[in-house]
Amino acid sequence: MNTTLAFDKQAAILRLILQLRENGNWCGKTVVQKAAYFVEILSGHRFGFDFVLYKHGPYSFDLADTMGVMNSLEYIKFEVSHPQYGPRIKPLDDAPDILLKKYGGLAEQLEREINFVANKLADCGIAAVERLSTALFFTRQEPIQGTESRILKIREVKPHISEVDAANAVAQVDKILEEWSAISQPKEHQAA
Amino acid sequence: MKQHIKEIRDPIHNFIHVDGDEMMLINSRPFQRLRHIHQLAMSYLVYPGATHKRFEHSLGVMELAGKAFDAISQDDHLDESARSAFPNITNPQWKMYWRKVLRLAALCHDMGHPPFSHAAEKELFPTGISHESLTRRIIESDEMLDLFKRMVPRVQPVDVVKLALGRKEAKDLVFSEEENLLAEIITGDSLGVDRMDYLLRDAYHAGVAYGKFDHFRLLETLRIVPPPSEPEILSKVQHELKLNLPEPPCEPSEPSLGLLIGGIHSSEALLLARYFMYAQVYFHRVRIAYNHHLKCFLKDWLPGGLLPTGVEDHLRLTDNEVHTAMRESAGNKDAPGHIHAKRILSREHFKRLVDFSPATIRSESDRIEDIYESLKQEFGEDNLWLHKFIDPKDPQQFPVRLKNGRSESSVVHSPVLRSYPKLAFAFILINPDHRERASRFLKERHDITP
Repeated sequence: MNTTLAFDKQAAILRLILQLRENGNWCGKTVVQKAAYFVEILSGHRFGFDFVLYKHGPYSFDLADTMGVMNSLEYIKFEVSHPQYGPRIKPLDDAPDILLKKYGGLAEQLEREINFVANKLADCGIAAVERLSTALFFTRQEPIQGTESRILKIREVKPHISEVDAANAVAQVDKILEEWSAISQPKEHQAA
Repeated sequence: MKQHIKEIRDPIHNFIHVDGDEMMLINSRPFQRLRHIHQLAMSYLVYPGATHKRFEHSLGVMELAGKAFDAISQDDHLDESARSAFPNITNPQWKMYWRKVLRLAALCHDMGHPPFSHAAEKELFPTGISHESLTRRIIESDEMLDLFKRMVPRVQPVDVVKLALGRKEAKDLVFSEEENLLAEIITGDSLGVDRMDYLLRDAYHAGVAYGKFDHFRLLETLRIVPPPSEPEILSKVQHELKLNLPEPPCEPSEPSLGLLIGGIHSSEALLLARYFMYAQVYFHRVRIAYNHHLKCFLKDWLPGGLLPTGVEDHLRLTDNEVHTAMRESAGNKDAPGHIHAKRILSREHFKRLVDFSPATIRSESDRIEDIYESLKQEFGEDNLWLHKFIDPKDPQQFPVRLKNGRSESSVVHSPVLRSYPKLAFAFILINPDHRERASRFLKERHDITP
């Protein structure tokens, strides 16, 4: 059986798409890939997708296939809203009923991460999520740490990203991780 | 040093051009084995002409890969975004080496296929092994290392692995941006030359017209193209009214394999060819039935019920050995795999019992499983096979360069690509002895008229 049929993952992706759109994001394929990477990292890999450094930063082939299946089953479609922009992913009206009602467990477990990420990446297009997700990738990769080494690494794999943009991305990712850390701590821990 | 170029006749590309190093690889044992691996498994039992092998397909992929490389790397075909993202692409030494590696990788890309190609590989390889991982083992074997060492310039096997398998199948390797791009030439879902060759070749040999498209035009118009833009945050009003969108930002972003706008109709034809070939040839119900019997035969016949994963054992096993064993088993009731060998050779294959519509697959997936379970209980697991396929690929989206230099998504420009039909199949096959009774059972128990 095709593992990309995993309906619980499809439901969680659907939730992420809905949240990104709700927050005003254009919601093309690339942004969903990078947002899913943030969810994967922030959730301690509970999303269950494998990411490698590839097109526009971290990329999951399994996630791409799962979105392909969702498109084939018409849970989502690619909507052309404006001739000068890439297509947006639009959930079909009955998709939440089919997927989230029946298979919504994982989406529910990841709700906080999904909402947080959708909010943080709301104003990002392809170029911005490419920078941020690549910065997160190197931030999470041992032993590459420290601002300078991460900037160098980003520039090494993505020569088209300027030094200033790479530095901004690293700073922004540090801030996002800090914010997540603050809100994801158990309440009593925060009080202490 | 200029190498002598030989020409090999081919029904799809007329001539395939081969240099001395490539000929050395073609003459190697792993490549010659591909003469004995059917490209379309047992499809020749449905389409008698479909007896072609992985050997000629691999030659075809090499020919197309060379042409694709030339199209995207020619100096006057490169725009600023391509030069900035792939700084090596204008370096003549780099181009000479990587063109060579790309063509060798195209030759090697299918070396790991077990007998009868895809027919049985998912269930019969041990967990974690695939034809791609075996391809890698072969490329990294001593026999191949020795070949690569003798080439001029000397070729690094890891480079061949990267381009033959692509990022998806070689996750442990670090790819440069250029290597990602070149691997996409072979493995790409939208514009990869592996797909181009197999659609053209399979259609030709199956004797169907569906797989044809203008691949000459497609290759001529291949380019490195930046992705289309996506706007920054939109207000709710903008969302709802789709009005007043700002001009797309001109931020630099990583380009990838795309097309000049002039090639868009060829890409539409490629995609339609893919759709028709899937619907008419690759998922022909009788072909799937034979695949099922072949898989069951191999499960019984292979030691431990699994395909070999060592390079030597793999190279020894071709369609010929399996076919010989099948003939022996068909005539001997006590031989392993007898029932399925007999079904294949006597054409007593399973038949279609019921097809499920894409709408049912979409919203009643559980019901399909329930129906299958109830049939298994009534008629026995060995008499049934549920086959499901939902297309995980999204091949219609790639960047297109317009005449004004801007880039656009293919689906924005092409209504044909935008409405590319979905591929979702689910059907149950059954032992023909039970078909009539099972049809009645479906009607009575599930209110389904097959």
